[in-house]
Amino acid sequence: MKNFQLSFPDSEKKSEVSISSDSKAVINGKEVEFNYKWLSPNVMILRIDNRNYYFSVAENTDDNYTEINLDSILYKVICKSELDLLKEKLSGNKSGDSVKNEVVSPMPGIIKKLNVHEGQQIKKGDVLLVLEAMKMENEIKSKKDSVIKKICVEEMNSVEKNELLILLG
Amino acid sequence: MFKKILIANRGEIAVRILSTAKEMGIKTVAVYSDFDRYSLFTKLADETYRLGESPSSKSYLLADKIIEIAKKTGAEAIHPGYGFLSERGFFAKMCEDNGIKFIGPGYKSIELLGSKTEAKALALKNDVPVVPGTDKPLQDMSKIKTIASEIGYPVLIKASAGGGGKGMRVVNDESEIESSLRMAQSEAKSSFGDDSVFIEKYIVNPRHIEFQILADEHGNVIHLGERECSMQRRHQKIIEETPSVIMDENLRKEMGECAKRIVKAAGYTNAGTVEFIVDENKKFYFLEVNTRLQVEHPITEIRTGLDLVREQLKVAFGEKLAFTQEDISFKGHTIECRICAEDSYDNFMPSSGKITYMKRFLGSGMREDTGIEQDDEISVYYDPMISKLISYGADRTIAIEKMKRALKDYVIVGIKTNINFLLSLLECKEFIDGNYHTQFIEKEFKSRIISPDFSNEELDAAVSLAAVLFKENKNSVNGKIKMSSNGISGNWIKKRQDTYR
Repeated sequence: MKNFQLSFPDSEKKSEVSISSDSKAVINGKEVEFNYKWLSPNVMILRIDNRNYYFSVAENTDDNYTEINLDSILYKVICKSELDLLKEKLSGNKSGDSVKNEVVSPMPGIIKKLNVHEGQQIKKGDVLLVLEAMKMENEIKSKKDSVIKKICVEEMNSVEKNELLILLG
Repeated sequence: MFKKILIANRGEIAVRILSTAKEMGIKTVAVYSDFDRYSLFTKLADETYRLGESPSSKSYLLADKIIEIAKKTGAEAIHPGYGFLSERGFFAKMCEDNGIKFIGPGYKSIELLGSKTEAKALALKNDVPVVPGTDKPLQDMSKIKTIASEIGYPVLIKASAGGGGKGMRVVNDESEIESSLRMAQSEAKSSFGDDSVFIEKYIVNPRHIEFQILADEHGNVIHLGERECSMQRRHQKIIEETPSVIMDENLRKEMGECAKRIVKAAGYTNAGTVEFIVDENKKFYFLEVNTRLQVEHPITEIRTGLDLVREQLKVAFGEKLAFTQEDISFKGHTIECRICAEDSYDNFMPSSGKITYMKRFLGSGMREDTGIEQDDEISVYYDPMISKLISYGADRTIAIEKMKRALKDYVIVGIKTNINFLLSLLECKEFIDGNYHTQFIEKEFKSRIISPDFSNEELDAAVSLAAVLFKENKNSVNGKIKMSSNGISGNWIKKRQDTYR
């Protein structure tokens, strides 16, 4: 029996899954039978009590959740095993509020505009800078309320994918 | 008919042209950049030739090299597709000078219609209504003020060399005009090196409706009906449909006749598109002529039953149109959605990388035009369109339902797409009522993404189990999963960096 606790960042909901065998699980107290096949490392056909689901799955390593796509609708899920929970308990790290302090470039491009200065208080959703890539101007927004600790680039700089742009504090 | 043609383009439009050429027994020559060496269109062609490095300035825009390859291979004609060299008069002239047929209008028509001022003057001369405004570029402030008050506010200032919304400003009343003009001019200067502007009446909540034209080299011109292209984001069309919800027989006839008059006056031949804007009282104004095949041409093909590329090839070979205006009939309703590599959930951030999995279930009434296959990469060099989905139904409701179903069953892994955004547009009330305009998405559309339904417990359970199985699977074959969730090879990152250096 393997137990997992799941939460959905877009909702208050939580759920619990216990896998009892290759084809049996208990989900939120309800026993189900399932079978599945991986069509690629990220695509799965899953049948639960004969009901069909065609999922694609990806890991969002920036924000530590799994993205599950069903019928072109995206579900964000944080999935933790008993072992994960135990590890967190031991290291004293609370779950859920671990958005990183590093703002990195999502793609190669040119910094068109810096909207913030060091020491500035910012709110989640504030536009930090404008990155030009693929002939488009893209707004890079803050993923949390914070303070600008350090700005590592200047306007008109070329940046590479995953290059550190701004450090939040 | 031509025995061999060269296709001076890439991606889905190269595939589109190749397929018709092959059906007609014409041999094909593809040209490619380093990035496209093994792209789908190169595999479908009879011969392939390298143009150069991946950036289009070093490949698809090299007119000399393309002409040289055409001569070397004995291609009798060049199809330019859209974008790249398709609307460059000098390229059409180079073709002519080298005895190669340019599959499109003559270079004089391209140059005439490519100039906004000359096109507008031509429209006026031929009783085609244009948006009231100046027909000469202006720089002088006092003159601009006088003209603005003559036309009546709101007015629009736009860079004479402009495009894509740059150097454009809406001015609501006289108090704003000086500062707006300064901003428009500085933007125009920095983007295009030319600070002269046009000024015209600003149409509130306009629709963008365009007419497909076919003209042969014997003086015959017909129109193939309209395309409603008002669903735009940042001046890029994303959903097109035909017929337009606001269209009636009289308006279609009137606009179609105007479209025909202007291309006739320009001595135009081959396929082209006359764009209009239509205000809230169904008054229409000529905008411009696109002197090439459009991205959204498939919806016209489906509704008329014609193959526009076939018609282009026949016209370019000198054949007469095999039908008259009266022979053209329209059937049902068609919609096109442009699937792009941009993240619906993250402010439409362009997404590049490798497509690790791609499956779709088109079903009846659906067509897909694409140049992409599974394991291909979406590059930063070219536009982010992955494919075009086109639905056909006996009526609009059926066409929408088919499109929604096909979008939901479109599975693509490795990059982010705008599929969810397209679905949310198709489901919004304004689209369903046909009550939208070119600024609808920017100004009014709020919902933007379809969120999961967390009240459905069965779905929650399924998603939870999927997450658990994914986690377990990942732990068992660690390295493999890590690679595909990122999806970009080291080599490719290096190549891309080079272009920015």
